[in-house]
Amino acid sequence: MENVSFTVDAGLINRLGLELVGRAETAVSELIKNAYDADANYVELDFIETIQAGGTLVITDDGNGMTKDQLIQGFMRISSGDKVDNPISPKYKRSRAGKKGIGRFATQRLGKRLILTTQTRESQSSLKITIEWDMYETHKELITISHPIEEIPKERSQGTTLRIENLREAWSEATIKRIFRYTSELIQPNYLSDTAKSLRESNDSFEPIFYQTVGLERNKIADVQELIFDFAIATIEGYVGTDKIGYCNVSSKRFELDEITEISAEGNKNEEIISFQLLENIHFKTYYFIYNRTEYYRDGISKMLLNQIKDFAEERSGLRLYRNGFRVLPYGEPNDDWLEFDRRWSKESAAITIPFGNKNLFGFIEIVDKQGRLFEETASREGLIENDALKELKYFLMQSLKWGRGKIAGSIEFRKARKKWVKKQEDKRSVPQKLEDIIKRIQSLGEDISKGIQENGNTLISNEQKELLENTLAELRKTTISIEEDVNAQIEDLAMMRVLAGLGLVIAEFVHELQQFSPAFNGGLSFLSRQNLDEQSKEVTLNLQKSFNRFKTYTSYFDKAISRNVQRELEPINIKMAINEFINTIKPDAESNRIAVDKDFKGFDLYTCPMHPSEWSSVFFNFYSNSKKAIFRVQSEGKILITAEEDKSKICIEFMDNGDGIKENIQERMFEAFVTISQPVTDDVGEGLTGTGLGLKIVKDIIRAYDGEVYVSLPKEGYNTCIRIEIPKATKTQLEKYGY
Amino acid sequence: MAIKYLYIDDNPTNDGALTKGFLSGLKTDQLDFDEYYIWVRETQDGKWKIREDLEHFIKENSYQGILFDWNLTASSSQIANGDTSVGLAQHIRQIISFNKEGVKNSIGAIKDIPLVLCSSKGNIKEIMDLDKTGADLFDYIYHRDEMIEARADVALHSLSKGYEKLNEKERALISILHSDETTFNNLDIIFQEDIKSLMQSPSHEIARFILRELIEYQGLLIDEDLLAARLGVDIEKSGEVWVKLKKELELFKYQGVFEDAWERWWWLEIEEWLSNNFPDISFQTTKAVQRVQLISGKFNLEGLKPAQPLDRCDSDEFWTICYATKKPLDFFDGFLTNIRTSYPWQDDIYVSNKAVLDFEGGQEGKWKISPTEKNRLKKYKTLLNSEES
Repeated sequence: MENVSFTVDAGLINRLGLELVGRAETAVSELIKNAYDADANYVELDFIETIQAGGTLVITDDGNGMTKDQLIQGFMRISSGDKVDNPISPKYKRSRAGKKGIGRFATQRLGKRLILTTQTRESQSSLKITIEWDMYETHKELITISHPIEEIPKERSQGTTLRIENLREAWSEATIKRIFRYTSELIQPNYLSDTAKSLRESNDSFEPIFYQTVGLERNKIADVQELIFDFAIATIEGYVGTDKIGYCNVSSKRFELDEITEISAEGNKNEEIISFQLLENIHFKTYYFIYNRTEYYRDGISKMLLNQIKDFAEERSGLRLYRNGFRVLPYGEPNDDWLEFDRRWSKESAAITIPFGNKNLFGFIEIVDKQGRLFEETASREGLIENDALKELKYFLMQSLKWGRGKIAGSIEFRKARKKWVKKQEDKRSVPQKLEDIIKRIQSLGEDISKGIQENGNTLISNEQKELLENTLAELRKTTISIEEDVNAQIEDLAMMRVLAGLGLVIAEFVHELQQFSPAFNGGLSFLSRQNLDEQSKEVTLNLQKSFNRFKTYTSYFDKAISRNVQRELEPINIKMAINEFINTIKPDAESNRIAVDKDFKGFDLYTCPMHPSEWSSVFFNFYSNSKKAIFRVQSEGKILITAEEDKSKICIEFMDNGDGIKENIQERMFEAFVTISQPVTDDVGEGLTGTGLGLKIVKDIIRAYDGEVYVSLPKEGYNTCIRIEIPKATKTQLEKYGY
Repeated sequence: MAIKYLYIDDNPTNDGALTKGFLSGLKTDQLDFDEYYIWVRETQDGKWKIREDLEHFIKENSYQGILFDWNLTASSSQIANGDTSVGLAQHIRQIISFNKEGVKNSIGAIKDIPLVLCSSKGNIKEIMDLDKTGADLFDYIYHRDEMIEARADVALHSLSKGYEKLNEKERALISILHSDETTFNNLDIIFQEDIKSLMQSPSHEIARFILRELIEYQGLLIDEDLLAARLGVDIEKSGEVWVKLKKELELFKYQGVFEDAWERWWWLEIEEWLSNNFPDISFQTTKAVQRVQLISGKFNLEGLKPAQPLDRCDSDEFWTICYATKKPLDFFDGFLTNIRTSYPWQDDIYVSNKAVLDFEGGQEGKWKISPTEKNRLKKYKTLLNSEES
């Protein structure tokens, strides 16, 4: 009987290579894993002339290297059992990450020729083997193909070099970056600070370094993540050393912060610092980002970049835990809220103050606990056992980040940035700005495409680019339509404004003319009062005189306002005086409407930035006529309170009344054009011009023009409505300039 | 017989009713206006004739004063030609001051008369303040609206009467000021010299000096508010009793020219009276309550009420008044204003702490605190802020 065995066709190698390692990226990452598994501290990848296919990739590590035996029995033997037999690496006891026997196929997948050199620390020389993968063509017996092993002088003390030539694909910078990101996933990043490094007991680090060589230039490819972290608006970092005392540092160039504090263990009653019971050799570093708010970033960050970071955060943010150099899952995985940040802060983070959810943080926590004294992994390898040490760790992290968050939120620069953002939120982008943004996007897309052509030599644009282009054009179309709508709306606004402005001029003229009459009235009344009249006539004269005086207060107030306005000169306004003047003017009217008008000032020299004096007349009269109507609707004894005080660089004015209040649904919109807050009222209160719904819009326009704010605020007790104005205070220079 | 003013209005569109109405408030038994004379800017042939017209007009009708009602809307060419209220007033003053040979003389071509300016322009006084030479031509400047309340009728009347006195051929300083030789000799020596040196000048120059430098400023003469302050009296609360007290002090009243429109007292005489009657007491360092007790005792007055310090003021050893509120004030409770006095006999002008805070250091066109007080005010505010917070 004849025995037969399977023969293997050489073509199998090619098949295995292509089928086991589908994507070139996977191939590279497998090779990096191999270096890691070989206890390397670094692995260098150099992509040489890879802009087009046919380039070279050199992968160098300082791992254990291979003996001749290991090379023959391991590398050259398909489906060898080394990784199955030895799941832990000899030197650093790393869990081997590479898939079994994939490495050699990975090199085959990548290029047509492999030149492998390897040496161990003990060996006297290096081994070099060259494999031409094209030799493995079909219809050849596998065992008939052999490769020479050379012994050559040692290149370095230990490690393996894989030189993959005649690469099958082109590797652009973008692809290299992508693979870099992909491979750095699993390993604890080295960018925890130096203090962290010193905490480690051994030199167990691993760092892949990527280079791209074009011509004579060899450039290091930066870690995307590191690149991103450079943009962080703040970093919060902390550690618990062997003395078990916790420290935390928050630093932010943008917000001019660099503070350090001691973090006490739980249970301090008297503000004293308590050291931790168990915790030691802990280090963490978090990078903090706020999305959609470019205003918060130093030197400005482009919206696109910030969006990229946001996308990146979708998968990569969170607080990741590394124990003795290894990721412990699931901490920091998407949707893992192990420190309960999202639960605690994401509601608040919605927009109000300072967003502080997992998505806002890229965090790395390092535990050095070689003996496993403090932390134990659960049997199912799904995290650490909830013991006291873990509780302490969570507490420490929570307290540190809470502190850091508070520091950021409290910093002046943050508040400034926030204010800027809030304002922008309200304003939205103007139409020209929107267009400008679109143009910029198209421009940068164009640059991307031409760069792509340069790098890849192909003129096809990627799907992403195509999509972006289409989206951008769609937005352009949309914006164009919105311009039209905007313009129409503004024309409508303008038409009304023109009517009012025209009317204003007529009124100005009229008020001025009225001034001519008052001496005549005065004279006549004075004459009458000096005559011997009967009682009734005397009373009539007296009433006439009173009414006339009231009338005169009005006309002279407006005459003054108008004549000042004609000068068109801005001046810092003493708001107390403006309010006094206004109250004096309306007093008779308020009294006859049974409305008490009070004022309450805090502080002295409340000068606003230079404004038209008449603008305050407009503002106050608007508020007053609204208040009057609101009070009329509740049919009660009315009262109005006007307050003024300063708040750092602002003058704050509040106008309160005890009318029927403003419905919440209208509070947001009430400063827009044509929104009237008044219900139809009888004519005796005088609907007049204020019913056009433009009054408050004009108020808002005035206040906004000076970078101020006007909004519905909380009234004091006894009042139902409060409109608050915040307007910049006059600066010292302004006051000096105007001679105050 | 009533004194007659010529009223000149530069607004040709003003109809009679408005002007008549206005003037009816000023007309009294004592004061009349030759109705009004509407200013016609240009004659038919386009030639400007008002100056000659005016000269004749004043002479023929023996007007005793002119009230200019001016809109101050002159064009630049009018200003260049002097065709403005200021230009016209200048012309009148000139023909009064110079005789035909161009020599300055105390008695001019026409009799010297008061010139008063009024306007409905809200800022008339500020405008005239900027034009000192213009302002100096007028004996008084009014905002038209305030004339009734300010009793301009009395002032116009008093001005005319005063000018008559000044126009007398035999001018006597003693009779102009209505003071006796001794009193006059006790007055500030510079004042004596200055007013003496004016005796050969046209009446309007003497009038201007008396109105602007003697009557307007507290010092040699004091007004009712300051009199009350120095006696420690609250005018309003004392009511009729104050009127009684004023009668008792009638002897020390200023009775020179313009006295009927501007009620003043010779401070020197009051001071002398005080030191004669209360020889051991310095009124300046005596509390208002005591001052009132002393005065009440002296005249057997009941119900004379002492003045209280204003808010934010502590002392009732009043010696001045707050310029803004006209209420009694001790210097220590106030700030010096920037209103400068020109002569040594004029008192410095103060405002109270209260007014300084209420008006934030000044009232537009009226007063500001003196630059020398700015730092003190700053410190004062800081102090108050720290006390109040």
